[in-house]
Amino acid sequence: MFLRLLADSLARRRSRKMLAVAVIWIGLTTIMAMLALSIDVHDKMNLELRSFGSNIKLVPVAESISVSIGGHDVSPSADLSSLEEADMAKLKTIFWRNNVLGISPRLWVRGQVGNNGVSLLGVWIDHEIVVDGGEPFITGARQVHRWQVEGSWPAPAGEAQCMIGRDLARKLDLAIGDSVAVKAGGSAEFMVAGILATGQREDGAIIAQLRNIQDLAGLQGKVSHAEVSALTTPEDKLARKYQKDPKLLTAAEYERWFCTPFPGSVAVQIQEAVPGSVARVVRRISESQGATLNRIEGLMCMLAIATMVSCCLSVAGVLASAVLERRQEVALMQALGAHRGEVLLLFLCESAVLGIVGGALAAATGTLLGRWLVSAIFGGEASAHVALLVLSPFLGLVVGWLGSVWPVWHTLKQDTARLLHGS
Amino acid sequence: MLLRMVVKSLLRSHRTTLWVLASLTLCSAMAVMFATMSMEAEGKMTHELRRMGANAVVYDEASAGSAHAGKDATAARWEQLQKSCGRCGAMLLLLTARIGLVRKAPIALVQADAGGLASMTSYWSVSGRRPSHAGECLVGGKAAKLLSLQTGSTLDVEWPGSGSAASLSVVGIFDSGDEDEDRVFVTSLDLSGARHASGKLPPGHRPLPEPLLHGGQVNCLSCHRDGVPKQSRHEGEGDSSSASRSKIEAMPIEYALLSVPGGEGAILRIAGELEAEGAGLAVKPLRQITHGESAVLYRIRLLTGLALAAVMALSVMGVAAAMLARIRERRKELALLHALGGTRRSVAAFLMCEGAALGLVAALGGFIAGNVLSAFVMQLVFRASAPPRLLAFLAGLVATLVVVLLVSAVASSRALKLDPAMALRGE
Repeated sequence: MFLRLLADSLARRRSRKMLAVAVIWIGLTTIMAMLALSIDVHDKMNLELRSFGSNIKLVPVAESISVSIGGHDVSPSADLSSLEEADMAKLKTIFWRNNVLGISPRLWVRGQVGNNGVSLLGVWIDHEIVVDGGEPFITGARQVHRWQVEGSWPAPAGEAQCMIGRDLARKLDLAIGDSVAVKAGGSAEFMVAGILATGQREDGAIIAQLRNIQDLAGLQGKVSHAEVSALTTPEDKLARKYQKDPKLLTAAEYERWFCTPFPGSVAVQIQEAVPGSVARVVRRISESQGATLNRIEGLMCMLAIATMVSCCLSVAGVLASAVLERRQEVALMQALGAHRGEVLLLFLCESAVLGIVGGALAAATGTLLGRWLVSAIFGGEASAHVALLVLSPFLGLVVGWLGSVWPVWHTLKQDTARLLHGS
Repeated sequence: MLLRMVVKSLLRSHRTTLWVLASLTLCSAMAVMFATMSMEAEGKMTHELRRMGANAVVYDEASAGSAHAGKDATAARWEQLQKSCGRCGAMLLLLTARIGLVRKAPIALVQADAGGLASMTSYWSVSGRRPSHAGECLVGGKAAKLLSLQTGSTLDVEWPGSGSAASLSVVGIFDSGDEDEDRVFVTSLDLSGARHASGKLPPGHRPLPEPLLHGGQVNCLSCHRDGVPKQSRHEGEGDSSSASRSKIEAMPIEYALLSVPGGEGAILRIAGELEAEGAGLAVKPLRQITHGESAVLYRIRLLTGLALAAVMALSVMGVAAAMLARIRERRKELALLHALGGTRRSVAAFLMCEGAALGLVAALGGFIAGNVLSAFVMQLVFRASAPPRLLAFLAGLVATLVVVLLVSAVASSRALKLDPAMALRGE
């Protein structure tokens, strides 16, 4: 009989029931979307933080002290120590290969344009590395540095092209489309495809494809150093303890450190992969990324909680008002002999059904909305979160009960006669 | 009379009034909280990012190779820069660099104010401590390794051209992962031997005295693969008469690091001010840093805006439910008003006034609650305070009034559709 009463109650006043389901559906869709966003924000923001540039620098062991002040390179002539270009591909075979998002080897040499001494920089531009599994990994200066270029990047094939730093372009009176003849051992002519301004050493340099500069300088297969952009975890006490002295770590702590992608642990792996190299964590970038990520995660967590609480209260309020409309029904059931517990149970079951239906609908729409928001805010694809699909109906159930318990209990305590009278 | 009616009406059905007030206060509190957070979070994030070092470098244009080459560098230009920075709340660190010789090899020594350097380079990992007195130095990790220096060592520096020397005590070694690790930082440089004995030198090229050049070769300290420091000589490339490649600056070079809140726009404003005053200083934004920061701040703005929109949409739902429930409760009262001759306009005005009164009270309560919540969140996330802002109060007030008046309008139209006779009968 209880089930028949429940079915009858659900079938009656369908528009009101549909409205209650719709409210739960909308509220939970918002909650699920915010949850999906807050789960993804760590990874997406971490990827976004790549825009600060590389966080690990790979330099040759046999490297001299450079004397560079205020953007002016006053060091003596060419640093002879170098790395092998072919070793760069090994970075996609290390333990943290999936965390290595970009590799940009660079070759700095001195050259001449007319009577002017200039710096020449060779970089990979959209260079392809074949990775295990066959999927090509496209990397280079464009992926690591995100320079803003007026004009375009040098084309990978065809006529030799270059970019020129803004300061040098002004000094040599060069513009996009001009040709520039460069000597550095050999000689070559480049077409200026773009002008860039970074605020750093590149502003006074000519930048071209790595192989062009290698051929020009007679340094085939060599690079001065490499910049690596790796997805890392912000440093915590353990990472700082390792930095102080690796010997301070216990075996368990060392294992945890090794298996966490701290900037230091990724740098160690990178260094081991490339012979004759030293991998240094660019502390400014890694600290900035760590601080930013921690703050954003905290902020997102608070926003998600505030949104969830607010949504739950609003949905519960709507459901409560729907239950309050049926006070006379409650009073009638009591007058006919139903116990308070039985009436409460009936309403809770009704709310549970409505909540689960609304929650199930919200599981689908909330996931879709969450994925759309992630791709709209951060770009790229969002991850699927199966846990949210299970959580949503459960949350609908909880919200349905929250909205029903108090108004029903409050009504049950009131005078039945007065309620039936309409007072 | 209308005011008295509104107050009495609100006090009579106090339960539903409290319910509506609670929903509106929640709506207002959320609006205030999100408004405060979106204003404060961006500022706090900018402050956090600015703690991570400079986002612009300032050079003397005489050494930047521009059209202003040849202008004398004077202290007045740096003062102009300081004024510009003061106006926009930027942090400025003036540095004076000089090339010294350590074991006959050149190394850059940089003088900077100890406090300013510590603020600008808080991300450095320092073992030992930072220098606080003249005669102390902080050595970059790479330089320390190549020169076999440790905390407590002594660094003997010769100043080229003058024959004078200085002895510095190494009080700390830092790890930064960038070009600063090639340098030595001090609080005071001995500039007594700064000028070359021959007098004035052409701008931009200041050659070392002859003994430091050996037929086109230059001494260079390098480290072989076995990690043992070793002096070697590099061939000067190309023509040894080419001044730019075989000569090393012997004069002090002044430059500055700026940490400017407000990104590239604010940096370019400072550059414009200096250009207008003819200061002869070139301001260069570190574009990788400014681009990264603007991307982060843009995402934060989007996230807080999105959360605000979601919360406001659902708050409207909650407020609407509460107000409509209130109208249903007062069916008889409204029907009575109708029956006593109240016009549609007057009944609607009565309900709107009620809504506005509730909205004003809720805006005040919401402002207090919203500030408490935002202070809690800012303390938890940024470990900083969030002072109450008038703009946030206005945002909460506007949001609450818009919501309550909108919903009151809907509620009024529903109330006006009631049949007074049926409502008075209790149907």
